Amino acid sequence: MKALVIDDEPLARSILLEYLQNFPQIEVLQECNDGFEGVKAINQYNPDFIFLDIQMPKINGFEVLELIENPPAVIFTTAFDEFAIKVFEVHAVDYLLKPFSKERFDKAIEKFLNNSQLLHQILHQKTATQSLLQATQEMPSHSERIVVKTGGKIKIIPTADIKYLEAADDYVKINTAEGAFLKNKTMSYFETVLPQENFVRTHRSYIVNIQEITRIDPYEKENHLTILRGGQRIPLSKNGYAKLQVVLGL
Amino acid sequence: MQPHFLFNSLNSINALIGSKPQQARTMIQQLSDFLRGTLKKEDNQWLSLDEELHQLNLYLEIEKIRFGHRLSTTINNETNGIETKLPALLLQPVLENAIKFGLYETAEDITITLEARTQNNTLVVAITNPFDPETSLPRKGTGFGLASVQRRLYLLFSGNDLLQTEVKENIFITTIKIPQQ
Repeated sequence: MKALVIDDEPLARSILLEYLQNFPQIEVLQECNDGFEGVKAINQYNPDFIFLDIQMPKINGFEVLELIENPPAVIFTTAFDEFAIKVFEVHAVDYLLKPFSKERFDKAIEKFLNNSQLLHQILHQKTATQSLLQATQEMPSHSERIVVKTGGKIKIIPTADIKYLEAADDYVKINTAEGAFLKNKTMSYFETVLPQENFVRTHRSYIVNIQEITRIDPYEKENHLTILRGGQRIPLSKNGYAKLQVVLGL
Repeated sequence: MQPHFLFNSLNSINALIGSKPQQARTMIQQLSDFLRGTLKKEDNQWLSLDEELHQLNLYLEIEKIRFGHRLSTTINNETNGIETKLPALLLQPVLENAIKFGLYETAEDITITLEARTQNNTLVVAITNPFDPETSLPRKGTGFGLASVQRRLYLLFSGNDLLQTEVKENIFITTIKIPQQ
């Protein structure tokens, strides 16, 4: 069994390693100090499972999983409060609430060892992964930034830097001052995740950062167009126009 | 105090009990002293600068154990023996803020500094922390969620300019002025 330990606190990693001494069948291939290292190591080693902290520098634990195509089984280790725990309680992965006892740890490992086959199946049905991704939406930090993969690198986009989003087949194109980035997500995902006081879905295929709007012009008979600071002309549906009026207080 | 801080500290103690029991005892003592310091204070109580610095130092020492060698701190008290007082636990949230953006949200070795001096019958305290401009951009206004500290200063002294923040490259500086009676 191959495992990874991903946590930014050395002592938090060492307690896991100490507790793991009872399980010689589990080999820890690497200890990772932050989310970036974690993503790299998961891709490199393709481990059977990982211990994953949530609050970490650069990218958090949820974001790590979002960047992995086929995430391994996960045992979360976190000091998060009950509310956050509830969010992923429904998933087929376990969590350890810091500080945790040896008994609780053993239980989590045994559960994993006994069910690893089952877990594997569940994880690859994507349902668990999907629910995890839903859980990421509940993370407050999540609405402040979007993480994308671009040419093998990880790019963090603060939501304030987003000008507008545009549906592009199975992807959404995120337009920023630094260029456009694609993310394999739906428009409704972004509609939920982005701060609602700043972003409005103006059209089935468009979400606009209201800070970028300079004008709203009539277009053809009953329609309107949003004109952005960069000169882009974004279609505005009837519904979208109504929403904009509310947000902008027109 | 952030509940995360408490539970993560207890987790560190749990790890130390196995590997370095003596250090575990030290950490329990520091954590207890720190907690006692936060519990016994009333909102309207004033402390001497030395007392407040002692409390802040307990907090920083615990963070140093948690984050190994990543955290260093420099505390310069340049009030030159002039007796100064400040509202209890006024600086704690400022320092927590510096730790959050400087330590929790960066991956490098970092230094947090605190400098205290007096100027025109005012105690001036400046706290600096580095931050990662890629993941945590300082916001407009007070930036980095210092609004509650600003509110407290306003209620105490009716001044709007007693908390100021600035950014120099990747260093965030919070300056607080406390008028002395």
